[in-house]
Amino acid sequence: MTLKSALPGRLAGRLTSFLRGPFSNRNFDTGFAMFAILVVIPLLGVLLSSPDLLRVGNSSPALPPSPDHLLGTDVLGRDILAQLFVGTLNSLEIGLIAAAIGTAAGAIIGFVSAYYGGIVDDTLRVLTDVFLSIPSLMFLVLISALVRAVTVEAMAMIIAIFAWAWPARQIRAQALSLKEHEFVYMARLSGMGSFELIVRELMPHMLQWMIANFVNAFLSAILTETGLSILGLGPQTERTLGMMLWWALNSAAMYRGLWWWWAPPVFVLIFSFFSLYLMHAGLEEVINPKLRGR
Amino acid sequence: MAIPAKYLIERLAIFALTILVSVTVIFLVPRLTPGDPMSVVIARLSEMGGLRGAEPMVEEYKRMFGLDKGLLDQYVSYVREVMRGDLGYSIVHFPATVSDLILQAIPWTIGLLGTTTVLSWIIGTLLGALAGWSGESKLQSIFSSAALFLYIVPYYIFAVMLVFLFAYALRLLPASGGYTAGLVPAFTLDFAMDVVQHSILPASTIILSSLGWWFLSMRSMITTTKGEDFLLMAEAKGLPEGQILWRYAFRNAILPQVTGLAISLSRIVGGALITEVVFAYPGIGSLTTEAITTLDYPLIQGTVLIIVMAVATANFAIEMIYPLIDPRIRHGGE
Amino acid sequence: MHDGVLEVKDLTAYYGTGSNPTRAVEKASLGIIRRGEVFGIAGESACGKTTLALSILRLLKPPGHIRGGEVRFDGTNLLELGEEEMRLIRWKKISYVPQSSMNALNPVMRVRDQMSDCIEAHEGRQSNEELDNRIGESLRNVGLSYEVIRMYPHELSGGMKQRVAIAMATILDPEVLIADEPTTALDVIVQRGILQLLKEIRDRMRTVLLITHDMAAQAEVSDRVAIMYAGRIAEIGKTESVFKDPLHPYTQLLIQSIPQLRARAKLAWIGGLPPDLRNPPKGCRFNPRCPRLIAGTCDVKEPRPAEVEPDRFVACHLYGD
Repeated sequence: MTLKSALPGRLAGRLTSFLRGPFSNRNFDTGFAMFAILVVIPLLGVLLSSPDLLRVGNSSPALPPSPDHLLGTDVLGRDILAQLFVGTLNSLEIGLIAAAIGTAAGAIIGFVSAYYGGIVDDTLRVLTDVFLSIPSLMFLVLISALVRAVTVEAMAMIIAIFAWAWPARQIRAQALSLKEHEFVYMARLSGMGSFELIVRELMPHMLQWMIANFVNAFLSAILTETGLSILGLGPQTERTLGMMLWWALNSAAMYRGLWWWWAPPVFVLIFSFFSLYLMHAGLEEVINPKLRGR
Repeated sequence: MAIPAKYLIERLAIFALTILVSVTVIFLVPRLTPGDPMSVVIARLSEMGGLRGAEPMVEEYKRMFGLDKGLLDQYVSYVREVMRGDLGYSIVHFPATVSDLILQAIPWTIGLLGTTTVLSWIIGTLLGALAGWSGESKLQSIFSSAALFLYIVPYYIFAVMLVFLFAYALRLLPASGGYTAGLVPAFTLDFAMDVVQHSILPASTIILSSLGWWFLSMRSMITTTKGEDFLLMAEAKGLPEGQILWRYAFRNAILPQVTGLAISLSRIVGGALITEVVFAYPGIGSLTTEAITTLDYPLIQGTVLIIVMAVATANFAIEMIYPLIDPRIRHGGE
Repeated sequence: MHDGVLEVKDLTAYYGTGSNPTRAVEKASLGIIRRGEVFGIAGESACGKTTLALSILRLLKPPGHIRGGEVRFDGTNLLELGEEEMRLIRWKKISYVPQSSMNALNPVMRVRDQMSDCIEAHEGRQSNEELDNRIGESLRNVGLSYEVIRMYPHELSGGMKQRVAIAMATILDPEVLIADEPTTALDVIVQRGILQLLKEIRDRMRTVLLITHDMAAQAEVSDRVAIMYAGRIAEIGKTESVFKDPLHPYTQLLIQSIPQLRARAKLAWIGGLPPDLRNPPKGCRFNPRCPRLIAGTCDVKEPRPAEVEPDRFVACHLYGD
């Protein structure tokens, strides 16, 4: 029986048992539900609303919330709710891309480092530590200011420059501890080849950790992007939650009492941070049962 | 009590590399991006009123930037100047030197971040210890949820909320600045009071947002320590509860907290960039950001260099002290 | 006739509340424990010995809680005392040496400070000189040198830590010392020393409650021994009698399973597993594994302890009841 022929059925089975863990955890479920809201509602909002709402001068400027504009308009007459929908999706997109790149790159580096050991490990570890000890926010500010990222994707790339370091360190540590575990020795003794060992024995455990790392990286990426955007260094032409805040602050929204401009992004941001944190906490509890019910 | 050689070499390598990489990046990035630094200078000069008589100045800048030399030569002379402690002149604030500007800004940052970090550590740790000790209770859950909220929400969001609440809605505190514009800095009580008034909001922002973490981690440490055998022994010895909490539980649980504080302090100079900008607080974070957004290259290079050096040195110092505290690291490995 | 110092009657302690608590200790009675004797409590791991010991001192932590019974010390029922009164009794009258004393010492305090704080907690502030003298003597009594006084726990070996714990437990000269597995995790030579110490405490007319599954230690040190199984007391009697002539089927199997140095008998063991204490068997808790089961009685009715000879108790339907 080859591995290939057994795959589909086993894969489905493996997938369900794999997913059962996280979804049985209360923290994860709450976080996931919140996150789902965060994705679905803006998506629907964008699909169902007219793009005109985002045009400058679409409506009178600085209107408070009304049935026409549920969250009012900004100083350029653009509907705020529409901006909120687009902004949320863009912020999430940046988080997704940066986290994906960061976790993937970090996983490769961490894994290679742990698996090969020796000089490879030493070099990669020093490299990772250097990236970790550099105050990343400052360099990101520098790079963003000079590169003047215009698109969401470019922004995500910039954030990814530093996003890989923490996953690399975590995954290296996890891979190292797994390497020493008895079941790896047993597998070796039973004659398993290296690749098979990696895929069948190590990967399933690592996968859980990597997903937890991914969620963490996601949260961190959105935090970073928002921080940079508040300074005005985010994607200039596209809307993200952070950029909305920057526009609001720069147009003296607070001074003019335009609370409906800056308060909604703040709320959505807090909401997303909580959702990601809960998911991450839930995943950690599933992976490490000792943490349950702390 | 010797520090193992391998560990020492590694840490030194990281320290040196961090600084080297940072210096190189700071040097390269501005020069690699589209746009010639000189055009920025010229644009600024023309803003200030005409290019007449600017020729010698432009030449001077060219020479300062070494733009008449090749890239490698520029790098070498840059490194040499840095080693000499000469960070050059700021373009925007000419004739102020970069060093002057930095030296002016640093006390503000260290003052603000130093005190707030220590304060929030003390408050968070004490409250967390009490919460962990008292165990499950309504009050404890409320505090813990509050701490969680403080931990998750980033400090710049707090900044926004606090500014709104106290500066605009209630009009109690000034929204920005280190001191009221127009006042001349002096060592008088009035000036000091003014400074304090201006630092309340930035300080509160930082204290609030870091409080959460200290609370949660101390609470968790005390809870873990409560389950230890020597705590049971302390109770079996018939010691009064206060003694058990402070001499047995607290003294053991505080060790990782102190390490955390040390790490936090090491990040002071590089931290709170956004808070300073949001509050227009004249610290090094503001200076750096201003430098970057005005493309004042010498100032950018200077501030980033100083910040990186401060953080790297502090990190290195902590890493050297670690093995003295934790015997496990002394014997190599992680 | 020795006088009684501690009496444990029908002590019951569970872990957890609700519908299915773990019934760790069920109506355990040790009878009257005398002054100047070593009273052993023997049994497999997780049979409830430690829970019993902690209950006596009311050190049981949630979700553990005492459900009922009496613990009489000096005439007073300890289970009815207020927290502050109990605190005064702890250590001064009844002290405790926990399992794995390696972890019982505060890592950030020197030996001296850990020993002086309990002295001062019970006897008020004293001069440093007096404290040093008393502590020094206490350490000498357990065979440790004076230098130990200023050391930190991590500077001591396992055996030394155990001795420090015993020194700490005896420094106030309590009437009862409860020693919980004092010799586990120590090598045989150190074990011997510890057991010798316990005997010396007994010789000073103080009482020792020796809790251990190590039957050899029981045989060596204890004057009387109680056999505990699944939270219940199976048998109590003079050590010699219990070992030479065990009455309860569990005790019989236990004694048989001790490897003999000289006899060439096959190694015996007790078949089956200890019961899940959340759902203990009906009737006698040993009945599923008992080779002398009386169907209809043993699996229905709980056996109550009966005094089959003077000072010899068994809780088994085969005797009395």
